[in-house]
Amino acid sequence: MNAADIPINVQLVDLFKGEHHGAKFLELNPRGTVPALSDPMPGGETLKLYESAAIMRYLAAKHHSPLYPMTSPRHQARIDMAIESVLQALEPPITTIIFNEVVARLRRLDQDHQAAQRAYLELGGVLHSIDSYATRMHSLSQRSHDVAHTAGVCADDTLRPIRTR
Amino acid sequence: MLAQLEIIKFDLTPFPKLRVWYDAIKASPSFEFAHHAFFAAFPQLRGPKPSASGEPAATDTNAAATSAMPTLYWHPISPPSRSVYLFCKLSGSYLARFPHSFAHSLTHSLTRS
Repeated sequence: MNAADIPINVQLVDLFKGEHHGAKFLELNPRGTVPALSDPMPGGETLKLYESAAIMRYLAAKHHSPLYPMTSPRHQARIDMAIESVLQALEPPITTIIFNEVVARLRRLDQDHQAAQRAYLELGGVLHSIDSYATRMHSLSQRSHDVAHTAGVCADDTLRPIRTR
Repeated sequence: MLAQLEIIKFDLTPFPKLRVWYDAIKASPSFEFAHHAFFAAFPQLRGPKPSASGEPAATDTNAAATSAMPTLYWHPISPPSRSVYLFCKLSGSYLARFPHSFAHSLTHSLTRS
């Protein structure tokens, strides 16, 4: 198992100074968003990437990270499916809560308390699903080597409550 | 993403596995580096100008910069930026510390199916 961190240089793009709208940064990422990545290639070219998921998948593949193994298109697709499902389940309630509890209050905008309450319930459900799955996976890894069953538990029990919400 | 919930003091106690995982990640120096400016920046929502003390460091001083390595352009106020930064900085120690964690178990089970 490769347990090394992924080596990167880190460069701040000062959003408060508008550096992400500057010509130099737009050459790297025409959308003007962070994060972005530049990676010098052996032939002298530079790979330019944006979108966080694409950057992480590229770096994990390049460094053979066991957190995101490149085994086969089928396995890769299932990992992507699970990651996207979890992220898409978490992002809407968290965004709703942060907007209503923080941004709207500080900016003195109208707060939708009912939407915030619904988001809290939704978030609790998603976190409970993930936490329960983590608990089951630990016990499964101790007593069962039936990988088909383990994968079935993951795909069915974990993703179902997220998919059918 | 969970770090955003800290600004509303969201309680992770009902989710013990997640809480242990998050607390351990949070204890790392990389987490502190990635999130210091994010938490410090929230008072900026009250006004147009960021405070000088809330400005993040220009570069990651823990990294030995080399021209052969990829360069990540980021800002700690951006959640996707923090995700990529921590993914790179903590991937090794994460695997060493959480061999049966949710993420690793998920990846393992999906890969082996």
